[in-house]
Amino acid sequence: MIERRAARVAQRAALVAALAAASGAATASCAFSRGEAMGTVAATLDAQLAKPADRDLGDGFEKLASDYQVRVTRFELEVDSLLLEDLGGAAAGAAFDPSAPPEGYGLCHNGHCHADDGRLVPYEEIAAEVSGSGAEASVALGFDVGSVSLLDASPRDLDCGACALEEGRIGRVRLVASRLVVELEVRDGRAEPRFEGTVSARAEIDLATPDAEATRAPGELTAIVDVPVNEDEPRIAAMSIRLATSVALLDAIDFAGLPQDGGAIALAEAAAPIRAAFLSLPLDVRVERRDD
Amino acid sequence: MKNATQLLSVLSLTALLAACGDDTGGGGGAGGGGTGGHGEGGHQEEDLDAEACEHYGEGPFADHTATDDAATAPDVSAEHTSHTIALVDFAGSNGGYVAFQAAEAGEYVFLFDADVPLSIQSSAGSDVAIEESCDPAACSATCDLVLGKHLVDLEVGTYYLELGPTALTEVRLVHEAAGAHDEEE
Repeated sequence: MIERRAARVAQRAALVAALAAASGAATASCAFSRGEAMGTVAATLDAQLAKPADRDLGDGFEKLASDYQVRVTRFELEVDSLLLEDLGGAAAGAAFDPSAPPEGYGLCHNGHCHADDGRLVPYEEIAAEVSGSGAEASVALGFDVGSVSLLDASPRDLDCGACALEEGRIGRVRLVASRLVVELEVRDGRAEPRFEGTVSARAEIDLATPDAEATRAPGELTAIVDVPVNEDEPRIAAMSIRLATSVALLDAIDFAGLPQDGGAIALAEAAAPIRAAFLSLPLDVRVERRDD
Repeated sequence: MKNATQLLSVLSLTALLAACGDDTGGGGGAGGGGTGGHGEGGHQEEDLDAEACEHYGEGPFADHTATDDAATAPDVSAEHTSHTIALVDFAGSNGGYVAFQAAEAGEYVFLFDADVPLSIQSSAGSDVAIEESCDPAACSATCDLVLGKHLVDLEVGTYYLELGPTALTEVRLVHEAAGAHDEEE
């Protein structure tokens, strides 16, 4: 518990440092005050483990594409930072051309490009990735998120202090997660099971560890938005940020091939496919503008 | 083999696939969640053929050797990939098994660069009906390389594709998700 609290304090400090560095300000506030506030943000985060009907087996168990069946009892994501970024004035996405994909991507067609690490990445995500990748990108606002249980009710309101926005144009939402804690029970759904009975499994996946073939920053998900902030726009940006995931994150794991420790499967050796699956999750952001 | 080759009605398959929507909409990234599997929805048939052609030519590529035992079959689940499958001695000729994991319940299209006999079994051992197959003599209007095309309806889970018997020593496979089940199904 103490370690978790200390980690939380360190995480908040890292967020503050990032914000301060980005703004050149010495303040620890998550809203900037270089100029007069032109607007505010009211944001929610909907991060929940979905239960698709085509995987539901009842009694809390869900089937995987590998024919294993899992009942997830803990699914927590440690979010280091959730930032709104100003990309320097231009509308986001202008820098991405599918006919000339950026380094790390090839063969773009039908709305996606093939990443060198094997992922299929929608155009929108690549646009979000490349937009404002130059020096002109800056952090406009940060949310204090911390540890999120994806089994809890969602969405939840996000804390950002005064939540004030300076004049500018928010072009990207960036979520950086450092850790995923998964606890579950697993059984084999095959007629000739690869192991007997129902076995517990647990892992703390370090999402910040880069995998050798990964082309994207570890633990990082981005979404492209276009939120101009100026005196002509409605003052309030109501932002719904959604991270959709499901047990499909575990499809690539061969539970029978993993070591057991004290009767429980140690998922740590499956960290790489879980990290890769996490990077494929869509971050969806909807924005509504209003004056009050 | 259950799937006696049928004269595929271009209109029927096109209509079927079109009914599943296309992926040209905006929105906030791939839906469906998970590992980036089915999120794009369905494709038009000509899009499927054209995309298969691109993958045959430009990859990404994956090489596999089929097995004569389904339990040890290599996994060919990576989507949007040209899977080159070396066939082994099988049923007095060439053939073998490869494994496919369906991440979402719905329809899938398996496209081959050869007219190779195909049957599909679930991991429980039951046969899976192939809903439609193309006429190899006129399989695709947009891609000459597509000589075999099969539409199947799968639940989430692992399936074994039985290839052959055939005189061929290797085939190339590209598969695409054609669309999720309707709610009422």
